[in-house]
Amino acid sequence: MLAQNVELLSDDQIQTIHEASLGVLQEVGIRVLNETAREIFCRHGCQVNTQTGNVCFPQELVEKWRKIFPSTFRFYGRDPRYDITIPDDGPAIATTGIAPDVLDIENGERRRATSEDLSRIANLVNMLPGIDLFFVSTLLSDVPEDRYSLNSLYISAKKCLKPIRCGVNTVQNFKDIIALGECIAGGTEAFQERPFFYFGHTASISPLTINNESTSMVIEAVRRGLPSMAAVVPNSGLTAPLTSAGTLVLANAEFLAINILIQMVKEATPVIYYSLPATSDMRNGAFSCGGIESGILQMGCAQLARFYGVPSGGYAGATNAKLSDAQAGFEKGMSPMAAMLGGLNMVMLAGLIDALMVFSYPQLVIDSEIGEMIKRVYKGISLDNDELALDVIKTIGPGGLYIDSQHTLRHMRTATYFPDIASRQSWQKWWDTGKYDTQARALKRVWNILAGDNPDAFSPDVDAKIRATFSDSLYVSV
Amino acid sequence: MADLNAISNTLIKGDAGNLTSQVKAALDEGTAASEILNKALIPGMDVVGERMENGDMFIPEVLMSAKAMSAALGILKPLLTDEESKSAGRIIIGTVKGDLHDIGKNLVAMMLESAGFEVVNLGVDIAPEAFVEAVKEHQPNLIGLSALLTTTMTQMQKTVDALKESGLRGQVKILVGGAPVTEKFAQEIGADGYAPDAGSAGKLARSLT
Repeated sequence: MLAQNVELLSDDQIQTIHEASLGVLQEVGIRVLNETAREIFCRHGCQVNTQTGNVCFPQELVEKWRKIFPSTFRFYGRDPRYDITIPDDGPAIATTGIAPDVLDIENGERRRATSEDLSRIANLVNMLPGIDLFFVSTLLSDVPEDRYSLNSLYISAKKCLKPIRCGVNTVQNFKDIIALGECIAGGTEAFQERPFFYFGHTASISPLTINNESTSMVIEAVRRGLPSMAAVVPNSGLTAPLTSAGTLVLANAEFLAINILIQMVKEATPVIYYSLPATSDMRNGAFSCGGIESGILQMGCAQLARFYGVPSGGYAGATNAKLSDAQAGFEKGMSPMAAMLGGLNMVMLAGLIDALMVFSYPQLVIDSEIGEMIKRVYKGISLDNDELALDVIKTIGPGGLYIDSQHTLRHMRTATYFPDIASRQSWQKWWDTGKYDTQARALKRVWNILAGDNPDAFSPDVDAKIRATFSDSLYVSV
Repeated sequence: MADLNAISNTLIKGDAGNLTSQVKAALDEGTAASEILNKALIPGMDVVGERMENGDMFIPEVLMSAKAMSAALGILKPLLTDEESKSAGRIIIGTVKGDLHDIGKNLVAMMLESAGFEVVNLGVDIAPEAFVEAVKEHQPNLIGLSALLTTTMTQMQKTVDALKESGLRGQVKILVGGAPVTEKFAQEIGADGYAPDAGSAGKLARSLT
């Protein structure tokens, strides 16, 4: 394991940001558009301005509540084999969402995503070793929007045993996902014990706003004991100060506010310091989630999360590239690596291109490989006697070769990472076998996985039960 | 004789304080309000537009110029005839139903104002019927629909349909924008125009009026 995280900020600097955020919460406050949330804040000692809806947080109150945040967050898979707890089992690699479009698997053209796409994606995520968490990647153009969550989770859970998160934006959607979870788990209690669906929400909106409908769902979920991931999404230059320090102060204040609300609803509810920091390009306003600033800001967020003793996670490795080209490669390589080295426990990087607007099949496979390499770095190196290899260094001595030693034989399958997509062929062999580029090799892998059986698909019994329960609201045939 | 060129340059620099003094001074010297508008301010904003398109000016600079322009217009407007002070057009703008994101939309509103439009900003979470009512009330030339969430962009279609049903579709041009929106989507739902970013919204709006 990495001996220590790379610290972007000094202890003093972290303290400065923390205190600045406390100042923002106390003096500027958060505009809370949800009445129940305002009542909860008020009951616990925040100052609520009934005219503006602004809620100000006394510093001692924030200091008291932030100490209640639990130190771990557990993701349950439908199969316990895929359970993952952060920070202990991290870094966890996750897919990103939710894109309206895909690049068509056959012709590569951009079009709206369908349930057939999502079914394939879930199948791929289930089989790809570099991805731990499936955050539903696309919208479904063939499903009515008020049934989106139910249908996307049904399709996803049918193919993927890893923990699944989907977007929920209406109360109906929220009820649907709980009902589906209970149906799959075999009852309310069983689902509550292992809640393998996670809902992402945008209750917190930059700058300094807690919105209405999502917040109702957050409160309901927390009361039911269901895990909730509150995203903080500051956009430097637009919804946050352009400077990284200012963005961190704002994001940190927002993180504290929404997660203190969650604790006030139910103490010790697990939380994640969950963020999507990105800059806005001052030349044209473009959402620049592929910018290196996202990696830098995630290093800061991860460090702040450690300061509060909570797990961290979020987008690092979104890209503004339009295809799986070199830009996609370096944007999806550099920020995630920086974020992981900075201690980000959950790195969301896989599947999407074009500023999170398009899903790409080959990119998902490439990103799984990036995820595996990032984990490899995190794993670090072991220094036991066998790995130190002093004996073999002595035996071979100056001028020899290590390739035929017992030591090499013993370690040859595990000492190095074998990439699946990166090519190490000779030029001649690469040329003779069709001179495929990265994207083409990744697409071949996509087809290979999809051609195989997915042993983890729903049993026909479970499927029949779900179909019967939701006969009015399941629109998909996959 | 007032230095119209200097006024243009102050506008391009986005210095509202100096611009208003210079405009007042020019008026005091006897320069006609229409001359200041047509020979200093409008040419100045044209330069701003060009420079933005070339990447020489960044959006915050453009917005400063727009604010300065608006301050200068505040002084000139009472002195201009209705014909002289006519805006490039009126546009109502709002984020569609179910979507509470207004920052991008507000940025576009600022850019449209800087392009000379009179903007009626309806806010967020605007239902199709509310857009229809607003068209009846404000009689705009254009209507701008914004969505950030991929789950709410479908409301754009519903809004276009509501305008058709109300019989008002022919009176207004519809512009759509927002991160998940594409040119193709705009065409599919029957909108008249799509701008990929705030910077190009003003130009698009001008091309449609």
